[in-house]
Amino acid sequence: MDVLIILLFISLVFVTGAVLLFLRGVTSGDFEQGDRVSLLPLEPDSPSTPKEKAENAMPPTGSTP
Amino acid sequence: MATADTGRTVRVEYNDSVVRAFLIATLVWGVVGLSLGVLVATQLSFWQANFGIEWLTFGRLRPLHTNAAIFAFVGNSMFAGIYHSSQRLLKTRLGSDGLSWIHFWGWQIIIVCAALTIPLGFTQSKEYAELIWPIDLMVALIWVVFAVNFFMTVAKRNEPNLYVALWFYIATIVTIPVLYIVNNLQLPTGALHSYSIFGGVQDALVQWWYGHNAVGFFLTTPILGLMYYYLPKAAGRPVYSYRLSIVHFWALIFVYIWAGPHHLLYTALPDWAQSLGMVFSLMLWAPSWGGMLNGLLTLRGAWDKLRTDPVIKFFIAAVTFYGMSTFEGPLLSIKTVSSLGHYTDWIIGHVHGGTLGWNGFMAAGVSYWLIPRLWNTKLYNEKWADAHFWIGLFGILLYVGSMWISGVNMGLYWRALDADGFLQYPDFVEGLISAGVLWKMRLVGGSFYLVGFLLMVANLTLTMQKGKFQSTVVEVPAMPKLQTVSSWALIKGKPVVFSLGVIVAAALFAVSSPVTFALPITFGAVLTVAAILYAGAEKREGGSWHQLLEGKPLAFTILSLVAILIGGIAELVPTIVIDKKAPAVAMADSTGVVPAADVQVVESRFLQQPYSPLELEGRDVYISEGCYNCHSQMIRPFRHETLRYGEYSRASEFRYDHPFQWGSKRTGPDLHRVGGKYPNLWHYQHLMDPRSTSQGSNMPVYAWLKTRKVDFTKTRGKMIAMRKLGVPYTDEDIADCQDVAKSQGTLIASDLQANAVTIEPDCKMVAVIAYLQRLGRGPQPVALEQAAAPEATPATPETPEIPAEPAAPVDVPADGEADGATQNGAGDLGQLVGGR
Repeated sequence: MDVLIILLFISLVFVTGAVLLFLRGVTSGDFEQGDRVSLLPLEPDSPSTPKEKAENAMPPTGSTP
Repeated sequence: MATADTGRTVRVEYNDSVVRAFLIATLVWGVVGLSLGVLVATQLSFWQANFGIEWLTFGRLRPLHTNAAIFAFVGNSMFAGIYHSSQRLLKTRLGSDGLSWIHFWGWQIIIVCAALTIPLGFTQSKEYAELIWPIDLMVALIWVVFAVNFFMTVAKRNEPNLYVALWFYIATIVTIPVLYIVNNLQLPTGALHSYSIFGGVQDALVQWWYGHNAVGFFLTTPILGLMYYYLPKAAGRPVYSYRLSIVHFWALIFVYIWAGPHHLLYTALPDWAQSLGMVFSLMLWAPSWGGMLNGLLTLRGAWDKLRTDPVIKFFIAAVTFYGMSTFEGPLLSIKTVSSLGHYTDWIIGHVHGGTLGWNGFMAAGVSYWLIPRLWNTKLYNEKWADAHFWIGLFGILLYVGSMWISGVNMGLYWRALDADGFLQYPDFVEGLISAGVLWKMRLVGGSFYLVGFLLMVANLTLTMQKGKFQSTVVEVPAMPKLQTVSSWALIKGKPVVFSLGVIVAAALFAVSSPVTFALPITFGAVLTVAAILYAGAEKREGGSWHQLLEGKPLAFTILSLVAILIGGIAELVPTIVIDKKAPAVAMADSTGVVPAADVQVVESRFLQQPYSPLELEGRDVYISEGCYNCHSQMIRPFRHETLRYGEYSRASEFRYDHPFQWGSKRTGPDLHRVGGKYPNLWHYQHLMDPRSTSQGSNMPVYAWLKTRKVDFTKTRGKMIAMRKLGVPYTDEDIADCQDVAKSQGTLIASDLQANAVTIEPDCKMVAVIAYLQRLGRGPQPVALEQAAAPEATPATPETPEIPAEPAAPVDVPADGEADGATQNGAGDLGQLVGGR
């Protein structure tokens, strides 16, 4: 059973280290590019020329952004 | 990633034609796959639905159903979504129109080939990898086309950063070939037949490493990619947490690959591999639920859409089923729970919660969202979509619920012991009968799901007819000039070094003795502290490490590959290169070849001898008929299993099994010790009319086996192939194989003739009987000696716990019937085949 205690200790060390790393990364702005990238799916996906827009003025159903 | 905005724009016309083609294929193959599911469910409740036609038996159609559902239905849906969303996320047209169409038509041809070969009995018998080797080559080729096309698209993108959905696509694209190629390493014996290069335990481990990760990287990661694109799109909100998605992705792909052995708990697989499979399955819970919550919380502030928008309904229900399945999977991977649930309907309920709920509803949501937009119109009828949702949801719940109850009931039934410690329900078929109502409920549930799907097909077909298909044209900013950061600099970045350090420390810990624990502890602690101290300096000019990585597809792909390879290598390599003492002993027994001096020679009745030519042919018939779909050949070391089936199975007994036939579900009883349990006549009657020997059985009739002949001209080639794989056939064995096979067939036919059954000695039924009579019996000379002294056989094995190797041979329970060894020709065969 001593093995389990050591195993738990090692695991906690690693998990703590990983969590600390992640938090440090977050606070130092490592993931801020996500603020832009996460909006990529929301960009309009529709014809862009005026003629095409006019031809397709009626939006589809559902919850198109 | 730091960029220099040029202000230039480019006009992009997306290739939506191929997306349209994949969407239509999704609908077509969805109907086929689901209809097959309803048919096989009908066959389980009403054996007459096998129609007495060999191409329509459950054993052949069940693999067709699973392949159609996974690779045809979900596969086409996945490709449609990937091609559609990748173009939008990368702001460019697909890399190559030609490759896109080769991909589409190649995949459809593969599906058609599968639909033709599997019912005809051409199969490798590995679950979800049944396709024969020529089709495997086509799959590999088409997947390369897909990968090249995808990465060409990435290469000419106009968006510097790869969005999270693309990460999951990349993981899918690099992992599937690794899994598929390794698991399908075969030695062909003909244009339509081959043997797995792995045998027995190794084959089982490789197969379930593949099987589990086919679920992981074909049914999960690409669909998660679709979730990360289409759910925000439909909800009109960005993903809940981009940071969480980073953790979700890396943790999921690294952990998933280790979990395969949970399919083999309490089998003859080495215990360390079982434990790894269980522990990593439990770990998998965290990233899976992280992803689920990320998906669900994306709808924050817009939950009202759940009431009104059918697309959102499908997506949210799908993600919820994903969460449920990924809770249930780790639960079932706990050894104690697995001991109850394995081989039962609980597993069937689990996988259908995932495929019908997660994959099926995601596919529906994507189809409902995409088709009106691609055809520039409104959905034909939203009420029908709503009806589809509720009908489908009811169908899933009925299906899954009935399977859960049936599975737990079956598990408890099998293990029930009376006050004296013997089986309370010794008759296997009685359990089937008790599950009858639940199986009919499953059939109803599956039928509801199919009806809902047909409603969607009608709705979307009318939508297509109403609208006009048109590829999208957009004006997008040109790809900005990027600051140069080498891929190598990212690969050797501190997060990677830290992660690898943890893995190395964990490996050191695993192989250390208690005395050396201090080393990995110190190593791990120092590494952790050092990494944390240095983490602040990791932010590079131009962005953080992960930000830069998102702009480097090559580095991203390499790291994804490394992440999935670690688990595979750690589990497969030790098992494959393990010392082969047992077969060396078997070779000495069978061929007279003296083993190497460092090989310990021990006597064991659990050492496998090669199959005789007729048994080998019978085994191929067994494989061809898909018997493994209902019968296991793996007795677990539980008292209730050894009482019911005989002594538990040992790894050494499967050494020459290419491929292994352990099975994963018991609709019928385990067959590993069926050899000698019944006389040949019993097997004949059972195959001709299962109800005549097992009242209440739902097994199909196999009467055609009596009229179909074995082609013994191919036996020699099969034995040569087996010898190349390490099976110790001698030159004499191979040269005489046809005569030996016919002689053994004649002995069995003669025995049946004595019971007024006229049968040709070279028919498939005789071959199958020869194989069944051989199962679990060990070396034939032992069987011969046992046959000469049947009175020495105990009626019931009394060794539920692991015993020492017994000195005297012990046969399996005779069950009050004649020992088949006296009638199957084994003894005479032993004289015919090299003295065995």
